[in-house]
Amino acid sequence: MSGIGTIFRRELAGLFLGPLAWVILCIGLFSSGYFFVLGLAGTGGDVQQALSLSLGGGWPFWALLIVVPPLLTMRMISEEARSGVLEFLLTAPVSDFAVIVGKLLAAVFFMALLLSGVLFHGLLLGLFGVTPDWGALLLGYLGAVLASALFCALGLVFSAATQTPLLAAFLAFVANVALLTLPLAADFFGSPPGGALRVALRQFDIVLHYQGSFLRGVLDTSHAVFFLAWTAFFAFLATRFLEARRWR
Amino acid sequence: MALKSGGTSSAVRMRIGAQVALVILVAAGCAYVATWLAARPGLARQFDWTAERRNTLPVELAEIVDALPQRAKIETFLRPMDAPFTEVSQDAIARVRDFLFVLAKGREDQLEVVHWSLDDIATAKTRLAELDLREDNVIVISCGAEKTLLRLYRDVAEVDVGNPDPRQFAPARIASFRPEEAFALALKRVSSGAPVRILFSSGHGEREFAAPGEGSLFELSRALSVDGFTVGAWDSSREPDLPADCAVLAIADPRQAFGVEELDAVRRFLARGGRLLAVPSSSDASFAQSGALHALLAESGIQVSAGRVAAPFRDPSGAERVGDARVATLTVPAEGLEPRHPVTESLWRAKRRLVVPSSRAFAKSGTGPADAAFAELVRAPRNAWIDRPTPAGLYAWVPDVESEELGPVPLCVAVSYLAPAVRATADERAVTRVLALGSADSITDKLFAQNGDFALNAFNWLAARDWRLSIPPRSNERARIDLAQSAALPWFNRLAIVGLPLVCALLGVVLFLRRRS
Repeated sequence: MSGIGTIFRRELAGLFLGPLAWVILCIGLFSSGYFFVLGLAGTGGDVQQALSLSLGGGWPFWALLIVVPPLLTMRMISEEARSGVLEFLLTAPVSDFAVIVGKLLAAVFFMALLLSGVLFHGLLLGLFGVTPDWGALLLGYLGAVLASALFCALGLVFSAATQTPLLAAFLAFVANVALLTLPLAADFFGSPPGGALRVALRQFDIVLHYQGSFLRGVLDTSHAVFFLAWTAFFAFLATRFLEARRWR
Repeated sequence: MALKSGGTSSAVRMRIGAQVALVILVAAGCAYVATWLAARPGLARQFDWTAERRNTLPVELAEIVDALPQRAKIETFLRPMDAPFTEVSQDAIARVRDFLFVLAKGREDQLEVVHWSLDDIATAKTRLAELDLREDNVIVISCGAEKTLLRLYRDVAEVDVGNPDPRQFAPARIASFRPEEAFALALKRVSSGAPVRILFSSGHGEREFAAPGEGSLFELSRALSVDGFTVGAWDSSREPDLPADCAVLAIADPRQAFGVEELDAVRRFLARGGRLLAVPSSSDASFAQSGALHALLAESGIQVSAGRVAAPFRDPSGAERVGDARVATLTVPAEGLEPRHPVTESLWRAKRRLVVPSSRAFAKSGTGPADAAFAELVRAPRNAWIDRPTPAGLYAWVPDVESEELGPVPLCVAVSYLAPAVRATADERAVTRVLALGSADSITDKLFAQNGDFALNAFNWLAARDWRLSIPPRSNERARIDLAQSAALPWFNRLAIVGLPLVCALLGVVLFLRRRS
């Protein structure tokens, strides 16, 4: 555990001492604020709808999730391997799993910070005398962090599997798009409502898992387990790729 | 493990690769199984964090869903209305879909929800035709052979059309949204057993119901079928007694008198808890015959008045006029509807009007059962009167203060009492219900669009498909910020779009400068 903590702190320091994190944070918070105000104006001041649009109810949120995690994770292993820092890390008294989990937690922490703009918007609304449904808002935020953890773990897989950070980011981006649009394959193959393919692909519908519970203000254990289980799987996969570097 | 000098052999690499692939596959399998297990109905847990528990079904509704005898199907045919109601109708549709999501969530074994897209009009039309439906913005609920219909803007949501006047503009809005109650009643209706059978009496010049026409009840019988009733005819010449499975008998505007045996058959039917919709003859000649329907109604405590109910009408200049047959076509506003009776309550709440042409009036007779509960469901306007015909059968269409009754006389009444035959066996469950309607024209195809809901409510009450459920609706108001009045939007622009990202940028610059120094 101490190894995870050390890696986590080291990664966070690495993130915030570089310009990339601040640029991403700045752009992310700007777009979140922009779409919140746009949503507020578009819904005639409907607070809950505007907040849900800033979260997973609108496409800007999902665009953020498929773009930002690859940018965050691309350098975490791939860049360190290229610069030789990873050699030192792998010889340090921490397990490969601890390395991956520490890096994953750092990436998720950053995403949590990036997504926290919506909580700020909730506070702003409170200042103007309109109290949002805080239970629903907090759960929506929690779900957004869980969903981002899944994408960060996927990004780490490609970061561990490739030598160049840009290639890692590109592959992670493509994988994120594929993961997000996987349920559309049912339409592509003309699967009818209730068809086997549609039902099978619905199991992997990230948007549905998020919108069907967290965004509605329902903590549904089945959806939480979905995000946690697949995040754990991708973290495991990243660990195996990291381990494979020892064999090269 | 055999290692060659300078590296591992390809066989060993393959073996290790295969082992890693296997482990990854097992890990993926574990993730899948964990997800699958977590979604099992017995294992999945839900915690509603919303302030108003928006995602939690009322206990009454949850119990009804859990008690469904088989999987019910809910099919929606919803389409936004044209301007200026596009926004409000989209809101209503979104709310219905949202509600159905909550209703069906975790109950896939009991409920199937299908949203028919009216954008794909061909497919939706095929299904609408299969269901014998000719309108949209309806929700069909079926369970086995039974089905019923909910209309979005009658049963589920009520829309306040607002005020289009630019000086006092008020946008259309959803005045009330009560899906919990509507779906609870509908699901209870379809899960109550075999379809309810309604028979229309025939052979006495009654109104046609099997074929369309201006004076026909075809639209009514079709709507009853869509609502899950089985509709048929009772011809006493072929079947002297009413069938045992007949729940409701409708006698609509008979022009010829009933025979003694036929009346006895109806009496026996009522005595065993049968339900009767009676519309006395609109013909004055047949009204006066012995064996006419009003004699039977008197036994249930309903007295039918001779003559027609009339009220002054307004000419194009707005002046009140009497003296011609137009006075016999009454428009009954919501104030004329009984707000506490299941037949008229929803119409009264929606401020609906009924058009009642050429109607008889009713009164309570002292010849009915002692325990009869008498209710006046529809009353004529206050300035109405009962216009009585002259001996020659002609109407003056002018109120005669001396000889004619004035005031809001009842145009439709309902009576219920413990069924005499059942009372003898001390089984208190069976209740006879009789509903008398003064005007057959009011429920014909011509006026069905106006009065159809009233007619359907009447049959549902007669068939005891009017379970009263009181599920308090959730607050209809959403948290809103008044963007026009308050100065919120400019502040949101400054703080959310500029302020927070700027603070971030400044922090980054400060950190960068500190690192440099």
